[in-house]
Amino acid sequence: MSTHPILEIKNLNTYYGNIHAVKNISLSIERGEIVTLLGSNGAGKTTTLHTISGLLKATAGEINFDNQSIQNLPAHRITALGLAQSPEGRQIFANLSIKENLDMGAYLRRDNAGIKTDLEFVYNLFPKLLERRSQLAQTLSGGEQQMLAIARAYMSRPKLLLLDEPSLGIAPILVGTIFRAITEINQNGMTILLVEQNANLALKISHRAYVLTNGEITLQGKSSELLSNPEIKKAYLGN
Amino acid sequence: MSQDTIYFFWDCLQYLINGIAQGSLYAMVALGYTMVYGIIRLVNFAHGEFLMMGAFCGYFALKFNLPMPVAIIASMLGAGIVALIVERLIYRPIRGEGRIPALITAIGASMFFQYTGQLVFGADPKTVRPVFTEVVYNFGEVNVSNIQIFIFFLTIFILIFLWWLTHYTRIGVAMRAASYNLKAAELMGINTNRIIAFTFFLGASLAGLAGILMGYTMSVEPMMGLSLGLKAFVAAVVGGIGIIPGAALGGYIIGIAENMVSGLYKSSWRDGVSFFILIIILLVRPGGILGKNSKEKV
Ligand SMILES: Nc1ncnc2c1ncn2[C@@H]1O[C@H](COP(=O)(O)OP(=O)(O)O)[C@@H](O)[C@H]1O
Ligand SMILES: [Mg+2]
Repeated sequence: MSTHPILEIKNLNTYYGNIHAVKNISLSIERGEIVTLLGSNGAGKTTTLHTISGLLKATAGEINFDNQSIQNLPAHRITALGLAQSPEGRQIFANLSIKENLDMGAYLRRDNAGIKTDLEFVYNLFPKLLERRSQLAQTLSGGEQQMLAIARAYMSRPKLLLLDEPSLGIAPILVGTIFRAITEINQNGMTILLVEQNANLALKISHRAYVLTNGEITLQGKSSELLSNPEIKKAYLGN
Repeated sequence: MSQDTIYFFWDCLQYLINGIAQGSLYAMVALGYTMVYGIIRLVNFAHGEFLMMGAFCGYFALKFNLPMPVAIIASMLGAGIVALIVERLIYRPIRGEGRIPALITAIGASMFFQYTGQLVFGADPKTVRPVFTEVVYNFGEVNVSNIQIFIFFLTIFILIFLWWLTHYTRIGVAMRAASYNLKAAELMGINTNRIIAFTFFLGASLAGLAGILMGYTMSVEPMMGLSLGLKAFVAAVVGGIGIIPGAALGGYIIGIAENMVSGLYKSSWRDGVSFFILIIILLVRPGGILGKNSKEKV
């Protein structure tokens, strides 16, 4: 296995017209890690993930994924290289059944045995999805849709999984389920970049973290250390 | 019952049969309209011109004495390839620039084919012989031709095929996924440009098929796509645009209404009736008969 970081971003800049949403950020993720990208609303977290996934194009900077430059590839090619995203707001296919959503996650795969194993894994992780697999995804609750979005991204068996605010707008009892699932997915060997506003939980389950403020990285370090950092406590932990 | 009343019912039945056959062809054209709208929310005004280009391909194939099945394939492929070129060169570059520019571009593409068609093929109508020798069966006072029966069952077959495609094949499920959320589909690794191109090709090839089959009632000419395209658009909207069974339902409604009105009342009202139905539907159920009539999905 390569010792290079699975993802390495250097001096990345992304604009929406004149709005400079991501300002010269650099970050790297090692294989096997959970890395948290922390930041308040509008900090540029989603923009960063969209730029990595190829839904947005960077105006400057480099993105290297698995020893390959990806910033000029279309999104579907980046997914094919092993980088999946569970997007903000879930973005599930409400008009498809739950099983069809998972099939779409595995769209590029041909290894039927592997698909079956991974399907069992996500059904085991989220039994609700198994129970309701033939129903339309629009019948799921917000929290269940979030589980589906994570499971769907997992089904491509990515080397790196991007999760954009998996706890946003879901019932508090399900937040715990989601975070336990993220830990389990990571223990199963998958590297994760987790975007969160729920700093407390995100820092507890991740190895390292970056803090994004107004499009810039203002702080970075081990999650355990950031948990006790006074600045973080004040800005994100509410004490 | 008086003799007159009995004949009235026989007449109605005849118009119904003619309407179903005609409506089947409208349905075939409306399917492509609705599929393209479903995936990129584009009202493709050039869809009728895809039909026309396909019909001309069929016409030339027959003129070169190729057998009918080859002419049918030529129509379908011809329309499909024209659609692929238009999508790639005209629609794709302006995708994401908003709906009004797309609409204007589509109208421009449509006019380009109408007038280039007149220049290249001539404006005079050309006859295309029916798919096979017409045999008319009499049932009491009504006539049904083998071509009408063929067209009816072909349309049913196409609907079943599209259902199978969109529910049981990988590319078909991807089409449904892309039509719901293009960006999320892209994140799945789906090459959405390719899915969109495939949708154009499929929809246009059905229009091309309808184009050559129409030879049994109408001639082929460069402006034929204008009224057929409009009727298919009306059919798609009446049934619920973006919804495949809706396009078929709308096609049948328009076909039957046209034949009823022109038979029982005045043939000059034939074209007007579809727009009358459109206005009623837009007032009563703006999302179309099978539409959700809620806020448009993403
Ligand atoms: N589609 C867009 N067009 C213009 N500006 C946008 C768009 N999306 C986000 N922004 C702006 O970019 C900045 C970063 O947004 P975003 O990446 O969504 O933040 P976060 O995910 O951290 O909440 C914000 O100021 C936001 O208003
Ligand atoms: Mg966000």
